Amino acid sequence: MNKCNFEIYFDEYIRGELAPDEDIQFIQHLESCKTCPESLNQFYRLHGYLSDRTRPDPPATLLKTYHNNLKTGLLINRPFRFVTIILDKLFYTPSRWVRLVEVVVLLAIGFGIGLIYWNGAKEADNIVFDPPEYFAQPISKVDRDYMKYYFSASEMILLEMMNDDEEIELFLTREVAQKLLVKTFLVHELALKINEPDVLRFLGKMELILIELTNASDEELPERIKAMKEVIVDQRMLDEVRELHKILKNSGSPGNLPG
Amino acid sequence: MASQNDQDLLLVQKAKTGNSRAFGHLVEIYQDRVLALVYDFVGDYDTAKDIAQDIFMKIFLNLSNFAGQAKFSTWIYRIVVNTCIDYKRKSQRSPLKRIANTVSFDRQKQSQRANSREALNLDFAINNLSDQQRIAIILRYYHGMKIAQIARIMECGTNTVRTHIFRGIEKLRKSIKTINE
Repeated sequence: MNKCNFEIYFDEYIRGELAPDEDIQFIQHLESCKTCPESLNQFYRLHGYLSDRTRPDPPATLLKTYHNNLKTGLLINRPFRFVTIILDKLFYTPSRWVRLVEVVVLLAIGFGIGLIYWNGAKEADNIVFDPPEYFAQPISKVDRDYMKYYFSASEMILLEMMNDDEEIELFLTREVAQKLLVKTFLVHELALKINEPDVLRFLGKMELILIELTNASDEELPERIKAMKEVIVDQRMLDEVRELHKILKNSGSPGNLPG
Repeated sequence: MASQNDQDLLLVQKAKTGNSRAFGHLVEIYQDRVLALVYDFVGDYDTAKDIAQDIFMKIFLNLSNFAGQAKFSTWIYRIVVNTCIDYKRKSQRSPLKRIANTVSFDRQKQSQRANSREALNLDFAINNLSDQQRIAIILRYYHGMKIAQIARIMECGTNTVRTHIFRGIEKLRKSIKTINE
């Protein structure tokens, strides 16, 4: 069979896909070639068969299985798909501006959360490192007032004992001393808490005096008071108690007590 | 208005970043075309369905290799064509499979187009063409592609495609003539 270079253009010629100049050239060749017209005629018949060929539709069940398999096999149809869709829309948006806004919003949210945690941490710090009043001041205001009262009462007793007047109310003094002795234990604990040696020293002396007053019988009381006067003078207890009382009265904190 | 290829490229870009929805769109766009093309090669929808699923898995796994130099549709069709050729070669290694394929092909065609003897002969004849001729004719006549597009899919020149089509049709003509005689 004779071969012709123009045969390969049959298909495009029949479809009218040749460029105008190629088309003219092809037609001119057909007029002159001995084999091409017959060959084109045969080609045309097959071309018709092939062009008329129709593909049968796939069975519906097979098509459905195929589509489902693709979705599940390629993890397209995942559970919680609506979440994926929302996330996809947020993070795969083609708009550069939307993405920029998303970044800014996310940063703002992050900054806000950070600020909240920061403030929370600061507040927590305050709670931890800002001790209540009774820690900042070794004893509370109530305890300080209690001590003030104690020193006032102690001063009164000491003054009463130092009084040389015959009309001294000894029994009343003893009664007050008994009550004050009970309070001495608590004041002693408070003094230990603030760790003031002057207060502790005074309390030690005052306690002894109060015990002497409390334990003395009616007959012994004048003699004992007389003996204790010397001690009060020697130890300058009146001056001492006044000084302590004055400091406690003027100062908010017993931490300022003389050390 | 964006062309099909522009839309494809946008979806591919998204799918490459892990956007399953974008890949889902691509699958929806091409799933029926791929099934049809595979069917034209193997002549059996059951087999075509399995091969098409493998093809989409290949596309999914190799999406990162798609550089965008060719059209996405061309890239997909190239994968389809290569997979179908591989399938045919594998199936022809086993004589039993080859017979089974031929019988399956014939039975399906007989049931579907029993009233068209020419069509039956045509499909049988096409099945016996060389791979290159078959690809060129199927893409040209069954899928209406231009010669240039077929050349890109087959990775050869346009004249080579024209030659494959012409020689394939000549061979078909002779085969049908022999069958009819």
